[in-house]
Amino acid sequence: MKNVDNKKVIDTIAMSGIRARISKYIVLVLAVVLTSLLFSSLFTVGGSMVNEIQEGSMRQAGGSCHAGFKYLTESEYDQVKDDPKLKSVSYRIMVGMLENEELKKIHTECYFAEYENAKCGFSAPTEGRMPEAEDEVVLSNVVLDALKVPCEVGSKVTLDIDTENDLVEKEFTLCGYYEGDPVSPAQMAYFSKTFQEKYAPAKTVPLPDSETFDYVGRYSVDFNFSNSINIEGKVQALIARTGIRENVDYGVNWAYGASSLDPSIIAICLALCAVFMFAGYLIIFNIFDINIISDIQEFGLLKTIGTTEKQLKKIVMKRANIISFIGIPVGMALGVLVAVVLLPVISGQFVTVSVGKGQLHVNIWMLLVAAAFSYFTVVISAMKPCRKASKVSPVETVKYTEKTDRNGKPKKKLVTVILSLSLALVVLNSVYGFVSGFSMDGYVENLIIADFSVQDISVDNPGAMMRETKAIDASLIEKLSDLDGVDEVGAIYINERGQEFSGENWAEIEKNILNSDQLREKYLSYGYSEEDIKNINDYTRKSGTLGGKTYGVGKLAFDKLKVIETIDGKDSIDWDVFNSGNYVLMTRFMTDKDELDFLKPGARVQIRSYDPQYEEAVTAVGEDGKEFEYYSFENAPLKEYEIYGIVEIPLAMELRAYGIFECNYILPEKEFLALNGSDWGAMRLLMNVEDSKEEAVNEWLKNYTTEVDTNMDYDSKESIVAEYSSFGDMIRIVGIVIAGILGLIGLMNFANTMITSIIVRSRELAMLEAVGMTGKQQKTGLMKEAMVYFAWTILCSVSVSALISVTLIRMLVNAIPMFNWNFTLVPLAVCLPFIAVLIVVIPVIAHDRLCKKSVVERLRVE
Amino acid sequence: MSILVAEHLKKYYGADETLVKALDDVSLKVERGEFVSIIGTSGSGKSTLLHMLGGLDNPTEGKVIVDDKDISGLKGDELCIFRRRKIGFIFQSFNLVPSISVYDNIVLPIRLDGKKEDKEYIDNVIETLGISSKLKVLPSKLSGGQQQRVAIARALASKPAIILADEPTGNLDTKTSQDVLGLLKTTGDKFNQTIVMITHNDEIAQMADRTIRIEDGRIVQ
Repeated sequence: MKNVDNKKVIDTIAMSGIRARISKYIVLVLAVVLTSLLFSSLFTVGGSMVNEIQEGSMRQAGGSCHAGFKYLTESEYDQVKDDPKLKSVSYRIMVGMLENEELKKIHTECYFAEYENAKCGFSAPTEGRMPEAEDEVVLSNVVLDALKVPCEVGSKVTLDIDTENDLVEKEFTLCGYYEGDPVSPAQMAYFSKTFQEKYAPAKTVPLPDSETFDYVGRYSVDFNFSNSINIEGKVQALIARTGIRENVDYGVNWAYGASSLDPSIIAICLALCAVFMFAGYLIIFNIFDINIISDIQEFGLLKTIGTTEKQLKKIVMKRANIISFIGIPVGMALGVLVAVVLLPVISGQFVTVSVGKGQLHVNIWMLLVAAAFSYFTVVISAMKPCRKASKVSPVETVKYTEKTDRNGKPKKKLVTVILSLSLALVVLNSVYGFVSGFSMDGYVENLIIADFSVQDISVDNPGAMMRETKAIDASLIEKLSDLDGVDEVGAIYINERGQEFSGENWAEIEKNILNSDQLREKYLSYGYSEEDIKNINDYTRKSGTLGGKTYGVGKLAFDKLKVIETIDGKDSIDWDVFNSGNYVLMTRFMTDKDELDFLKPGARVQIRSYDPQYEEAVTAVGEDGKEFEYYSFENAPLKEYEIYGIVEIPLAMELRAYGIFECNYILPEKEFLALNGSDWGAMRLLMNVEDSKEEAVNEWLKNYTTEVDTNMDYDSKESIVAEYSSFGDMIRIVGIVIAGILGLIGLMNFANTMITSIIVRSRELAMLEAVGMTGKQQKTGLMKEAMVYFAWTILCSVSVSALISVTLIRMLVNAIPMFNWNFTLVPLAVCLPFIAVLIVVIPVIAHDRLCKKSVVERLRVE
Repeated sequence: MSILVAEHLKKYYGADETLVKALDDVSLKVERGEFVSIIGTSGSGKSTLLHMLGGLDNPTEGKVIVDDKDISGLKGDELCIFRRRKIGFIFQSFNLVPSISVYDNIVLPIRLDGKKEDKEYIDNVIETLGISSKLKVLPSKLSGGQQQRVAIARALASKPAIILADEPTGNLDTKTSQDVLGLLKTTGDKFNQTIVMITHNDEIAQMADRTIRIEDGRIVQ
């Protein structure tokens, strides 16, 4: 069959159809804009968050490369670098460590690095460039701040570098710097190749053959494969392929294996996607549907003069393309703008990265998917009149049209408009129900136990690799207690070494805990297999130890402990008796459902001293037959205590890193220090301050933690309250934006339906006017019709909102600790009157516009 | 005494070069109970004249007096209320409201006025027009002739001062036209109604008591 060249005429018909009813197409474009706005903002926010969460994991893991080899010689590096299956390879050479006095707490490693390598370690200079001359250096702002050197290219900085063989003290010029991540395990200092060759020449002897563990002058090589699937296997294959020594140290970036998103967040995103698609479908479909009569008439007409169905489809597609071509890009751009506004708010609620939070990450694929969703919605909706027209013969289309016209209002239109309006109201009500359930009182109480809490910056940072739990020394405690207005302070000490048991106690624990179903379930929930569990349990049984912490608490913290059971059956514990040095408190084994006692009050337990004076070097023989040295407390003394009571430790006092057992002891502060040595620093210091001095103390702490010792951090009662209320703000803002856009779509849908129905009936209305129906009477009639929409909207939105409130929202709210479920329909009560006004006003306005033409003119229109 | 008087009616559209004189100084009188036909070709101004007489449109100049009331100055809703009380319209395209029943269509103008219909009178009209069996159906179920009879019933229902018929048989075949016209004349006589009908058809026009011919916006005969 010959192809007929009819593109031009089809274009003409498609365009003229749009021009003939331009207002319909303007509304359509608007609808497409709103729909794609919803999609693109959701996808952009989602994409940016996924990206941020992944980057957060990568920063914790120390880099974005898939894997890396460590401690190579140059020749070993050459073996690897040209492997064809590697997508990118970069290296750095260790030069040493920075030993400046000011950097005691900031572990800073010195390297020569290729730019690519620095980049994948998130430490490429954001200002300036990598070093070239011998006296040039790149540092992080964290290091520069600690050294009190201005953060600008060209600054002079004196560095003490321990190169293993030598201590180099030298003045350098800052040629670039990057924004350092305070939670990352190490800061980087980059030097030039010249410097590295001079002070840390590359090693030629492979590490296993070397006399000592000499890491300076060795290559660290990071590489990427073509994709991140089975990195471990690919590394193994690489080792085999390149013939590099089998015992090479390699690291696989765990950030790629970690599942980066909560399933509940994915579920929420999917639900939102469905809601948006439905809202978009409702309006776009409705616009086509209410114009279906004229559309079918047009298609019928085209059919009578010989347009084939294929050509009709082409015309429809052409129009859909034009609408999408204008509407989708505009919607996308607006959606990205909305995302820019929302991102910092949303990102602020997640623990991701501490540098560059809330930044927009526009993923072109995400936008394309969003565009495809919107386009798909347009095409589906646009095709309907075409399909309908194709089912009837051309002559019948005219009749069909008249019939529909005369039978008055089709019910479907009513349904779409009501669904569309109700959807917005239901979303708004649900969001409000969720947010209003947000009650900090009970939750924050658990977090706030004193006016201020001072601790090392790493203690409460979930992203920290190492937690510095001994940062508060006696002199700082003294300084803080002497501040004007401080009523009382209470230190919390911690030792994370775990607990040892023997004899009767261990038998009791085996019976109560190790053999319990609860422990098995807890292991299973952590993803262990039955076999793993058996192995772990066997090991635990042999060891006679359980993971846990020993806390040392002052009276202030002691008073906040929640007492579960005591030796004398009372519901409180006497501080003076506890403080006598013979007693210890113990926590319980907690699972999601149960609490089990490790031991009962009255049991006598032994706690080992970890006073550094008892630490001794022990030499042992490893599996490989080589001797190695480790430090042990196995000969340190054990002291016996009686368990006074079983308690729970409030979240705010705990070290928030948990093991499976959490078998914790609590000793009085005095006893803790007596046991472990008085040099032991506190993890946390709680402070209560006179109300009138709170402001001043807050200022002092702020200054201290930002200017004097940036490793210290503090929480105030206010900052915790603010942090949690900002979470409420996020949901509120996001909810309002979503409900607002959906509401706009709903109202647009209603307005469009009403206006179109008035225009369609313009002649009927003129006729009524001719026989004496006044404008006022007509408007009343229209309002009555609108009120039907309104009544249905009330019915629908109230019942669905109520249903969702008692089911979904209740479930969701009860699953989150700081929320309390309340039944509410307040947003509906507030919004419905407004909608009532709009619902009444829109038809009146449309009618007035119609009446600008005289009755005679309107009657003449057939 | 005249029930309908038009004095020096003018209706102009546009201005200057594009000025169209749809009606140019038309005066006429219709007596109570008369059946007058206005005949003219397409574009002669006969429809415009009817619209002026029925208060569907305001004249540029001149007066229309219906039942002793000057309606040329009335506007909007005033005019509308006047129409439903004093004028019964019969249109070429019937103009029945599609979503309500035949009976509701007939009594619509009365109910719009907030009045109760004269049941006996309405039944009489309906019976005369032979549409008793169709009262509960929707207009779309009726034939053209039946629809026009409903329109006549509607025009008569409020006992108006005059009935204005705009090409009442324009959409009907010859046989049905004869029937409808016959009924129009009969009911006019029976209920003593004044009827003004416009048409372009001489034969139909001859059925009236008096014929007024209009051409280019002026009365010529």
